[in-house]
Amino acid sequence: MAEKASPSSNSISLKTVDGKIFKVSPAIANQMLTIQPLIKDSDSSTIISLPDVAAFHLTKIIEYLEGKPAAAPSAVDAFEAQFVKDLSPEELKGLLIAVGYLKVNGLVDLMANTVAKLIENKSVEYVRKFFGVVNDFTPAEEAKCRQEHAWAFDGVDED
Amino acid sequence: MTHNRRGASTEVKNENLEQQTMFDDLPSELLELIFSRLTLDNNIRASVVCKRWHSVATSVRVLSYAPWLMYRPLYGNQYEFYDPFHYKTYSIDLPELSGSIICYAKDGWLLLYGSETRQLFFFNPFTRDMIKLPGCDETTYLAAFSCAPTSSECVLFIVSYVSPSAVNISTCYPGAIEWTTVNYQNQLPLSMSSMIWNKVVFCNGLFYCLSFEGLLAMFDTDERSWTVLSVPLPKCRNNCVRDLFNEELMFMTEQEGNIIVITQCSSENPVVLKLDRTLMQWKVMRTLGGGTLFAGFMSSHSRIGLPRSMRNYVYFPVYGTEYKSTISFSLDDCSFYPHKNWFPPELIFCFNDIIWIEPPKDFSGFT
Repeated sequence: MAEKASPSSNSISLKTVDGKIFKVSPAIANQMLTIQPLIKDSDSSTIISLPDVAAFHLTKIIEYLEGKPAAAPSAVDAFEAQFVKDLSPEELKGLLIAVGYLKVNGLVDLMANTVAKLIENKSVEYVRKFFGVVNDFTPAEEAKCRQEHAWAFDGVDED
Repeated sequence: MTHNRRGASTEVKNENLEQQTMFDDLPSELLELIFSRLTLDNNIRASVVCKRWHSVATSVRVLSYAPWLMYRPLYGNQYEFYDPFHYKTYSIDLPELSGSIICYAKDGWLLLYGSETRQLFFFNPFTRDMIKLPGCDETTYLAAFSCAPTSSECVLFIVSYVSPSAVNISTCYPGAIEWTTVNYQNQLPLSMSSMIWNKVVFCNGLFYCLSFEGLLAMFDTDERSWTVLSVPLPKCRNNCVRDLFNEELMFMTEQEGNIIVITQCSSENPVVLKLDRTLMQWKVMRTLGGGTLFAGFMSSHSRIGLPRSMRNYVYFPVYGTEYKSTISFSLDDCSFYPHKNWFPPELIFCFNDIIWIEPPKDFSGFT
């Protein structure tokens, strides 16, 4: 009974794929929908392993959940813009996978929107290069796809 | 080099290729989340990046588009358009429409009446094409058309009041030199207001007309027959009197071959009714089956396959000098979004000089 009274008894331990352990409050952990069912039955000795999440990503997720302003939409927008500002494409991708796996409240939307913005109004060639995607169409297949909706290929930003 | 190694052995992928390939191995569920946020042109370009992106992009591609609202200016020719999905407003000068009255809209085309020329004409505000029509002798009428005037199937339809027991029906098609007008007797004894036709919609070869009293009649374009149906629209809960000045608003559209009527009576929630052709009865619809309705005074529209956030809603225009937007009623939880009290009551469900019109698929906006 005594140890339940200690301040850390309420916190949830999360272990990342690279072996780091993070202690978070149930309020934070509950916003990760994937692990929600595990939280109910866990006590201070339980460690929840997150096979798809690295320490860097979990740090960012906790930073988001703890820092997100509760009120004014404009404050949320400013906070979110700052949150994604300095992420490299590689970090974006890793965070998107981690957030998608954990189903983090609000952050899934933000990450998907951020990546979508990077695609918007860009040429196909730019997108391939930026996202490191290999073109597996034959030239004939690609030409056919482009021809079907030729109008969509005008007026993109300069690469 | 990169390409070969990637195809040949997936085991080494994690060790050596992490730096070169970035988004190649992103799970499809996540790609779906990203692509579902793209507009049609961006979705199409993403679909050309590689085969997997193609399959994901086409799976979330939205094929149907919400119509826009077109606002007639109080003075001058500066028309405004409002895109309810992207919450975007455009303003464009249309001097071609000077002195004309909008009668109907369908398939991106407007049917207008030139008050000086006293003739109906077609106008497409997106391409700015105009199609002239022969003059018509009828004076007070309700006009509509079956489909875009560029189609060989296009039929124009006018119903005019003659007396409580008779109507004149005029038909025409783009390129015709004159209208064909025939006088028809109504088979049912009708009061005057029941015979004032107020809404019209084309569905499966028939022009359906709805009167102020909620009576339905249909004109068969092949057989050229006029039939008044004895299927009165159910009254609202307040049981208010239906006449020319009634407070109950009615809208009519067509969804997948079914005639749909939306009624909206003062403080009540809108009711959506579907005509059951076999039982000849109006049935209340509790769901739109993922469809969306756009109610308008001159013409109403229905859509299937809109983005999920718009499904199972009835959209109404909101109009005021400060407000140009929409209010939508959810059939899932029977509430208005945004809340009806947010707007001065005179601005909602007032439809003068506003019409829903569908922009063409490849239209990205006025510049």
